[in-house]
Amino acid sequence: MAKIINIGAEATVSITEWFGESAISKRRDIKKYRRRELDEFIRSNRTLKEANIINRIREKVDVPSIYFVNLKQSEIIMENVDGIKVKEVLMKNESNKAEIGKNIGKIVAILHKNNIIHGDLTTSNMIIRENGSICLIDFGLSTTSKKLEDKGVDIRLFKGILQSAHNDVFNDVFNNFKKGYKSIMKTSSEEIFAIVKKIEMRGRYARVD
Amino acid sequence: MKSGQICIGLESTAHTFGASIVDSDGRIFSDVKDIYKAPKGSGIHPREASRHHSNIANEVIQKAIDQAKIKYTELDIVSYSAGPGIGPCLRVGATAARALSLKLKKPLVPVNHAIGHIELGCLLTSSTDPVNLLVSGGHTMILGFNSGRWRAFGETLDLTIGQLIDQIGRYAGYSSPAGATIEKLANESENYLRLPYSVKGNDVSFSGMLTSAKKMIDKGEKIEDVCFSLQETSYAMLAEVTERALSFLEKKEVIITGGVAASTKLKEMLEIMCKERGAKLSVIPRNYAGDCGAQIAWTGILEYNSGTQVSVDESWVRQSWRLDRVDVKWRK
Repeated sequence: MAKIINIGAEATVSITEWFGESAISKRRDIKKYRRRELDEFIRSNRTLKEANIINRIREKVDVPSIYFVNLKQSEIIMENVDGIKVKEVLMKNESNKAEIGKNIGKIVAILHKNNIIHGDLTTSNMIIRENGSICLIDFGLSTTSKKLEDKGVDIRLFKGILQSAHNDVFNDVFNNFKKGYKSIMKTSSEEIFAIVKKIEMRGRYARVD
Repeated sequence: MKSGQICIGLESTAHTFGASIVDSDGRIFSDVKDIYKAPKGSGIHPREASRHHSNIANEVIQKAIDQAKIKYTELDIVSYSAGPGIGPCLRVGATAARALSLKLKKPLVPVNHAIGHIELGCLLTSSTDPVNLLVSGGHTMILGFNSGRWRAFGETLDLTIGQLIDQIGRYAGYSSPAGATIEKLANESENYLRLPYSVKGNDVSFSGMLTSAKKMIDKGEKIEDVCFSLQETSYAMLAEVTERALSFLEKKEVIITGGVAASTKLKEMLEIMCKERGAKLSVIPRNYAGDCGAQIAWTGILEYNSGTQVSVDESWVRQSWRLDRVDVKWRK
């Protein structure tokens, strides 16, 4: 029996082996609250997307290596990334928030430069490896798009999670995220951050003043 | 918190004018409301709704006092919903509250309407630290309490679930709020038509679904099938983002509040999700799900005991007032 290491919101992650190497199996679970046809579509669609986009970006940013995709089971066998989630690191006092923010900014900018929208940039989807590299996981909601609007939505999600879950370190992390992002995106970054503001103002009951 | 304080809460953010008497032990002595009904096929007209509220305010307040079997002089606190909501409607409640406060010489307390939904939900379901799915005509948010505020972990990027339901209802010729009608029609179908399922991270978007559902009606699809598919798809999206918040926040309680909490289907789907995650689901009782005075009166007590009070001269209403801007001083 494979050892389950995490039951996430949509997938069960367990330890397995792949040709003698330690690996993980990520299986998108059946959601009984959804109608079967809708559920099957969502699970296989996201599994396929995740594998495809990780493959497409793997030479440019740190992502887990994909070993095998079993679409019928909505399962991906992939590298077991060893490290600590950014979510947990930001909740500790001793961590270097500025450095982490800047690195995340760079990673997201590289994705966006390649017209990849992650779609779920929450701090539990970023793992800091022992060597300090930040590995981005969970590409199930990712898409490809050239639109600045989509890139803005991506950043707003990250900003939102910082504000709600990591409010005490928000300024430090987000200001440095911007710096890191700008260092890669250069000119269009100003435009994208302006769009982020616009998206926020579109939020319900957002104050215009 | 002082025991035995009695608070009147006035609600008037949208279609409902409500008045309620609640005490600081969380006992609700009365909760009276009168709802402005828009003509079939149309939404709330701000002027007409506020006129309705002005006409009915006296009667509703008097009934609340009578049913609670108290005298006006026994009131300790006067609270009103100060936003977010429709300007002309908000002003009716605020004006009545100012008059009561001046006449009775009792403290005036402005309350955020959405915080009211959550806090009344926590009171009535005895929840302490839940993930809150707030679903109504004005809100669609997934909230958790963190560092001094109710924080949004996900929300709609465009329409609320209530708007989606009401707009489809109106398009099909039913009057708003159309939730009960749509649910009844949906129960008569098992034929699922594919609609856009739009979850963006922890957020949802319903505008694409609205357009597609309208097109289906135009094409002559059976209204029962459209309603069924609309509920199946939109509620599954809400269940998914609630599960995401539950997982991220590592919490074990979920409550559903707001007018759409009255939906049996939504409750069923959330129940399945919570059961599989080992979380406890509570739903605000149906008669307190929609807008009501009790949510304002109870939160008025919480606010007042945390030092919130405003003079009549400086009292205000705000059409745009996000609930995550409110410092929740009574929670740790």
